[in-house]
Formats: sequence, C-alpha cells, structure tokens
Amino acid sequence: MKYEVELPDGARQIGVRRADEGGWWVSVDGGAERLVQGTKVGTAEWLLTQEGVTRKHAVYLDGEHVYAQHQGHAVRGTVIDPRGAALAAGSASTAGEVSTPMPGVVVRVLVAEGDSVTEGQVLLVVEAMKMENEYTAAIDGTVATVHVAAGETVEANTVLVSITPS
Amino acid sequence: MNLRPFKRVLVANRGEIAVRVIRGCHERGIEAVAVYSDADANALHVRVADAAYRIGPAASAESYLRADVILDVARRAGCDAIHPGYGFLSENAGFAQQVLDAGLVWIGPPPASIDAMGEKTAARRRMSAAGVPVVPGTTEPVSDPAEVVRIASEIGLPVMLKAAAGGGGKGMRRVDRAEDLANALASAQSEARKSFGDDSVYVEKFVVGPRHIEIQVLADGHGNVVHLFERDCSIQRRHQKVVEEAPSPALPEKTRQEMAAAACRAAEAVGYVGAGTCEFLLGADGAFHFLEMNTRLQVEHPITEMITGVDLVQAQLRVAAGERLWFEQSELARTGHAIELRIYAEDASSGFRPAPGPLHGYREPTGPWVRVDSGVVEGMEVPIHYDPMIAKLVVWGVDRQQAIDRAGRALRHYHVVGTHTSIPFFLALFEDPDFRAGEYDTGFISPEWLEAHLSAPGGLEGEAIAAAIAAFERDSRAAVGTDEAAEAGSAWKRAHRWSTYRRWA
Repeated sequence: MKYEVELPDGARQIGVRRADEGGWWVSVDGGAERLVQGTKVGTAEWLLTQEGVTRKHAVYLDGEHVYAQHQGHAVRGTVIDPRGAALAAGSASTAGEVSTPMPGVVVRVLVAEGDSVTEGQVLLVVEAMKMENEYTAAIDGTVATVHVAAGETVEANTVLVSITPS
Repeated sequence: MNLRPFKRVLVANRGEIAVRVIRGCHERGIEAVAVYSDADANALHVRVADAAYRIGPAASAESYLRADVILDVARRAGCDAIHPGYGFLSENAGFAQQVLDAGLVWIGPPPASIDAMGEKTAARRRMSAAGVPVVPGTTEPVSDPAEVVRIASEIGLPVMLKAAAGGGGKGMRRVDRAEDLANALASAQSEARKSFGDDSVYVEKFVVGPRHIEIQVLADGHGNVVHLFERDCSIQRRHQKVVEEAPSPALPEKTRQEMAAAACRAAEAVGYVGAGTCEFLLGADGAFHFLEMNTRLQVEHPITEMITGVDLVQAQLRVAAGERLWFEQSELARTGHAIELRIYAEDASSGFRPAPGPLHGYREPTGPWVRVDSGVVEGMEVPIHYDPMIAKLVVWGVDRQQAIDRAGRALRHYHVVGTHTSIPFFLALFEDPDFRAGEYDTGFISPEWLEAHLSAPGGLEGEAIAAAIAAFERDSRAAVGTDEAAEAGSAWKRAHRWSTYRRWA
C-alpha cells in the first residue's frame, strides 16, 4: 500500500507492506525499503523500532485525519490512500464553502441568501470558549445558502455558508 | 483542632478547581458533592466526588451560575457548606448571602468584604484611606470626555481607561496621546456596557514596564491576618496570566515586606476572612500600586502551597468553620521556587486562538516535585462552553533554575494528542535568556515575540511513518473477511498475525 501523508513539514509518499519477519517494510518517497517493527501501546501512541532503535511516536488516526505530537507541538495532517482519493476527486470545489474548524455557537449571521459578498467580508461570528471568531468569504460571489442561524450550536467542520463564485 | 470541620461540602464549580477542592475535603474526611452541567456529565470532578448532581444544560448561565438550583442541591444532598472555587459564583456577594440565609456555611469571605472589593472605584477609595498605595487616577467613575482630558493632563500620559465593573481585560484602553482620549473613552464605555451592563469607566496612570505581583493573604474570623508571600504573574497573554512563579525574581526584600504589609492592611480594611489575593503593579521605577483584591481562591494558589507548605483549600475549610489561625506570621517561611504553567487548549502560533477538541491521547507528566491539577482524562473532549484550560502544571525546585529545568522536562513528558496546547509556547519561553534571567514585564509576550520565538514543528518523518503504518493496519483489518480473505492461505496467516497484533493494541 502507498499512502500520501501530509504533515506541517511537508508531504511524503510512504509505501507500507507487511514483512514476513513481523512488522512492515516501509519506503519514504520512493527510497530504499527499511524494516520497521513495533506496536501500538496506547490510544495515540506507537513504539516503532528501526535498526535496533526504538522510539515513541504520539500518533492518532481518525479517518483521513492524523493527530500527532512532536516535541510538544500538536501536529495535524492527513493520510490519504491515493487510490481512494482518485475516486473522491471530481467533487465540487469547496472554495465557496465557509466552515468552522472547531465547535462553537453562532453568535451573529451578517449575510442573507442572495447577498453579494467580496473576498474578506465578514459573514458570521461564531463563539468558542468565550472568544468570538469572525468567518470571512474566501472568494467574491453570491451567498447561495446560509446553513446556520444565530444561537445554533455547530460541530467542527460544519459548513456555515455556501457562496457561488461570481 | 477540629479535624473534620464539616460533614459534607457542595463544590459549586467544575474542572480542575472542583477536583482540587474535592481533594482538600477528602483529605480532611469531609464528603464532597459535585454539580455538573450536561457538558460535564462524564467529567473528572463528577468521578472523584462522593455524589454528583446535574444542574442544567451546558451554558454557564443555565448551570454553574444558577444560584437557586445549586442551593436546592445543597439542601437535597444534606450539605452543611458550599465552596465556590474561582470564577462562576465565587465573587457574587448576593449568592454568598443566600448561602448564609439558607443556614449553610459559605467557604469564602463575608458578603460585605466581597462587595467592598467588587466595585473597583469604591475599592480604590477604601484602599487609599487604609494607606494602601493605589495607581494615581480617579476614584469616581467618569463619562465626560472633557473631564477625562483634564484628569489625564493632571496625572500625565500614558493613562489607562478601565471599566469600573470590569475584569479579564475587557473595557480596557491604553491612551498615549491626548487627541486619542475621546475615541478611546467611547470604545471603552461601549465595551463595558456590552460586557458588564455598566459603562462607568475610571482613568488611571499607565504604569510603564509593570510587573504583576500579588500577595496571598489568609485571615480568620478572629481578627488575625497573615500573608503567604507573593506570586509573580507578569507573563500574560490577552491580559491573562499564563505563567506564575513564586517567589518573584524581581522583588527586593524591602519591597516584598512593604507590599505584604499593604495586602494585610487591605484585608483588614474590609474585614476579610479566608484566603484572598491582593494584586499589585510593580513599576520599572520600583514603586508598587494596589490593583484589586480577588476575594476567593486563585487559579495559581498551588505555587504558594509549594513554597510555604500551607494547603490553602484545607486552610479555607478550617477558617470557614471558625477555627483560629494555627500559625503566626513569624512561623511562615518560604522554601525554594515554584512555577505554574497553565496548559490551555489553544494555538500560540495563531495568536493563542482557542483550539478545543478531543484528547485522543492524554497522559500527564509526573516525577519528583511535579504536580498536575487537571479536570480531564484521556478520551475526553475539551468542552467549548468554558475556559479552555486543560490543566495546571506546577513544579517546585530548590531554586529558580532548577524549577525551570524541571518544568521543561515535565512539559516534554506531557502527552497530548488531538488538540493544540500552550506547551510549545512554554518550551520557547524557557529558551529565552531574558525569561531565564527573570527580566520580563506584563508586555513581554507580544506578537513580535511569538513571531521570533515560536518554531514550526519539523522532522516529522517518524510520525509520518507511524501514521502510514496505522492506516495500513486499519485498512488491512477492513480488508480481512472481504476480497482478500479469498486468497485463503495468505489471508489466514495475515488474520492470525493481526489478531496477535490486536491483543497489544
């Protein structure tokens, strides 16, 4: 299997196949295969051994999303099986969709369906953890749908407003 | 000495402070009753309490701020006292009075003391009269721009405009130029009206290069007041403390004693009982000024506990039960150095934006002289409805350098997967030579500082490989029993290996 793993320091193509000696043969960006052995030791924790050295990796996989921790930093990224991704490709562009990366409560909706908006214009305000966050249009266009109303609680990754590009 | 001052205490709070108070109760043989909102139904404070009662939906206004519901729980649960923690109802004199009227003990200062310190301009007047130095400025709220200009020219620019009913940095404006005064006044008033429903503003001198230093006091109901030294809380972001240390690395002994004496006078002036904190600004010129008194337990109380050996929650319980202070000022000493780091679910690299989320992986550091006060466990979601603080990491060292190094070690051992935390910010702070030298003020953490000191994570190949292996194992598991199972021999071998693997997963 080949996976495209994208983390804040870049994207890597990682080949993984099972090794008869236990563990996996792993290649990074088409380089030589190396034997990696080890196991998952906690909900978000792996111990992996390469060339006799064992290191802990704090990694949690949730669908295509990967959450990790490295030297205290929270790291987020994606793990995509390019074969699966090819199937999903061709779905509509999402530039006109404004969504929230975190759960919260919609405080104010400043636009209505049919309104013309310009890039950078504030569309609505969502409160999370006592902080008000403004959500802006990424493109010029017309508001096609407002999916939420003031007072509504929204989950992470909820589409709030859809804009048809002008 | 009464070992068990109460039979059963209701803890009217949530999160780490509820857990902290419950610990104090249990250590004195007192039963602890927790309350929880729907967002906290599975929370740690619910798990460690002897009994817990639902008080409403997630929103604070419908749960943790519902005085009537909480009092009803106290009655039904047979509690004889209420501990409010910090925040929520802790500085609500009306609630304190209701608790007393219900025949229960309020583990906090008398309502009149809370009131006396609650309205900031009245408190300033009172402190001035008690000989506690206050920041030069108005003792009456003002709203007339001409009056503001006159006062500003009298005490000299820069000045600070502050909401009289304020707190948490809301309704505050620094003004450097006389021509900006009118505008700043209008916006401070509008913010104050929106946040507190009261647009009174007062004007005070802006202290240049200030450090935020506070004195912990403890008073009994028999007229005895002692101080438990200071905490330096100058490392702040958005006007909120994120690092606290005790002792302050910048307080001359003479100033410490003067400040501590002023704090005790402040407590006496309002008939204070219990644990409280007087906050001061120490200017670059060495002069200090009273800011306000927090009439409750502080978030950062553990560092005082670490250097004095006094358990402040137990002390609150004993004093509230009417006990006389069991030590004198001269018996109190401080030893070593303690640091507290507030671990928030937030992303320092995007201006400390809150980043609530699931704690997929969570394990707190431990080891010598490391204490973690938290209200979360692995698998929990950091709720969006409340303050995004996950935990307080508190360490003690024989001196400041050892405390910093120990805190750094503990931070590196802190396993948090799923949400951003302030850990990378603290690690960067510990590398800063000025911080290590103790040279900082409340303006130390600026956007420029963050830009220069925060590094992006790199060298993530190991994480990428682990993620790919995790995906491979998940996908193999999904494949076993479907098309791949048809390749009999190899599939059985795989399935067997997989089951072996899963035993360890």
